[in-house]
Amino acid sequence: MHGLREFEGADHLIVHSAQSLVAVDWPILQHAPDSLTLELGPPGLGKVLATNVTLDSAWVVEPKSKRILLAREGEFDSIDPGGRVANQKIKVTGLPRGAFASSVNPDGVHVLLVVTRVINPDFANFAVVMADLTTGQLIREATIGAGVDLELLWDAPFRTWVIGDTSRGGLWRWDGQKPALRLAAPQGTPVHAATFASSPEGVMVSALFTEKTGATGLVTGRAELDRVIWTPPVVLPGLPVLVARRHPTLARWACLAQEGTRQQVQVRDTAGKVLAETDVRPGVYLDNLLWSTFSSNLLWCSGIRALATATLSE
Amino acid sequence: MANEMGRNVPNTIGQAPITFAMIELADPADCNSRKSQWRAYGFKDVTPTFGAQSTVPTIDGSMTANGRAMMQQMAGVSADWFMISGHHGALYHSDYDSYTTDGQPCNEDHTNLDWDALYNGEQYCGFFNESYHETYWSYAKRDHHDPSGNATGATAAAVANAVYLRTTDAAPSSIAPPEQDNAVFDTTAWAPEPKGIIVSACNTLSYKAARKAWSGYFPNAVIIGTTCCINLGTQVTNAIAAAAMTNQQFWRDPQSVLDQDGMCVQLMKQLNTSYSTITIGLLYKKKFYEPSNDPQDVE
Repeated sequence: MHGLREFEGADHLIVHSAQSLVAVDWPILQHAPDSLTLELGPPGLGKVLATNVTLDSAWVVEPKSKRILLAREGEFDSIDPGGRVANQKIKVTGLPRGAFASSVNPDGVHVLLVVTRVINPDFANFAVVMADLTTGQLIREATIGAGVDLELLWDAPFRTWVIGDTSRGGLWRWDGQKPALRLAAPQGTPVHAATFASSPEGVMVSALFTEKTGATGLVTGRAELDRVIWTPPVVLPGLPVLVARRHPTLARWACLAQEGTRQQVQVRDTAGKVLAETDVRPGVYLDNLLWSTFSSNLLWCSGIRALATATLSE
Repeated sequence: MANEMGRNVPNTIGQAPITFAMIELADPADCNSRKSQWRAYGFKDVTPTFGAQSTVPTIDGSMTANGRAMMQQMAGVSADWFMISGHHGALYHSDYDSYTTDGQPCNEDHTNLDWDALYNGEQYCGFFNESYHETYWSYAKRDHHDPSGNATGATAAAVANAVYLRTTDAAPSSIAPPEQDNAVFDTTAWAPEPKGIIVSACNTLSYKAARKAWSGYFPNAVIIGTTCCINLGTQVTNAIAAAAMTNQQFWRDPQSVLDQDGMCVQLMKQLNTSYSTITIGLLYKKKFYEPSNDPQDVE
């Protein structure tokens, strides 16, 4: 399983499973017997929405129409997960094969994509392009060249894209026209993983680093127009934390921690204090966390062969 | 906090501990991902100095001195699996000039480059860090290999921090002055052969000379690497993780899986389902498996 998004509520999921996009209802998975290994279609559970979907066919759910925009070479597949409207092709001149991440702005007109830039026979990195779905034109950003995974977001307060460096915690801000502006990563801390979240106050950066003592530290920041306002780092006591993702509206962080075979999902506050935690069952391996956009207490926990939820309760 | 955290608990009672060691020369996300998965299986990280940490440091900048000391110690480490990650390519960028179709230096678009000649003919390749990339690799030539000149500041620091690990025969010191030792190669002087090696970078199995070296040093290990340029190492670890065959049993004893008829081809196919633009190959028992060709003998 390579990715998931909620669709029309937290019970309805679109899952990238193997080489397909599959619509599946969470209660069916949630209430399956413990002894059963479930396979998502085809030929398993769920309704197949698209096939031949690879990790470099980026997809996103357009918020207004609720359609999936799936990047293909030279076009997008526009898919209605509910099946009410026929699938469409949206031609985009020059859209290359291989799009590794995507994001769509609120009006559904522009899609930002991470694509490959080949430098020479032994080097390639990531570049960013923007597709205009109304004109079918592709606009290339000229300055970004990244050898790290990038997260893409629309920053509503500033009406720009944010392109986040998930290895160092820096970011670029791009208005789709002028060259992107580089906003520096936190200084003096060797960051090993960073995540980015859109919040009502703007884009929030969460960057993890390893203290000299071996403990994990978390430094967070809010992206202003031309700089990031960083807060002093906090130590995260307990198992080393591998992933920290901020809640989209609340100052709390979902953390995936691991020591040896033991994994733990935690929710922490601004000071790094654990508000809630639960151990992952032995034999299950998770590698990512995603806050629900429909339920503020729900957290999706995923691995390449596992999907789980954690629910915060009083 | 209620939870619903999965099922299927593997029985590991009585199973031998599996060990691994890692060298990271660039973005550590791929090593961190693989380390986390292996530790979740109960495997032990025996990387000197850094093994007890939850994450894998990049050997560059302020970590260079510690990293060099670690690699010296690693030559004395026996592990079931090794993983090396970083940049990988020809000794210098200027080496491309020897493989052009028109006898001219390689142009910016590489349209005059004979790619097959490069990959089949280049004698000297290696892993390297960003400091090597931005100094020796970008500016040195075989007959003029001092990239620093009278450089000061950041350039001089990058020259001092440059790390290169050969994946072919070593280039003569007359054309390549930096250390070229590959600690994983050096383990063959005394240690039992590992079960396998992941080589996570661009073109790690594209160059014929590199395939020959890996197969020569480790004829019975499975070596998983790339046959193309990649954007970052997590594309390798993602492709490996997504292959149905790479379950815990595979990591514990890949030979028992791959010695069965057709299983090398099956693994190679599974490694190539995740991306449409990335290709992964493997070496096993002196044969090379890649998506675009039938299995070939490694000469």
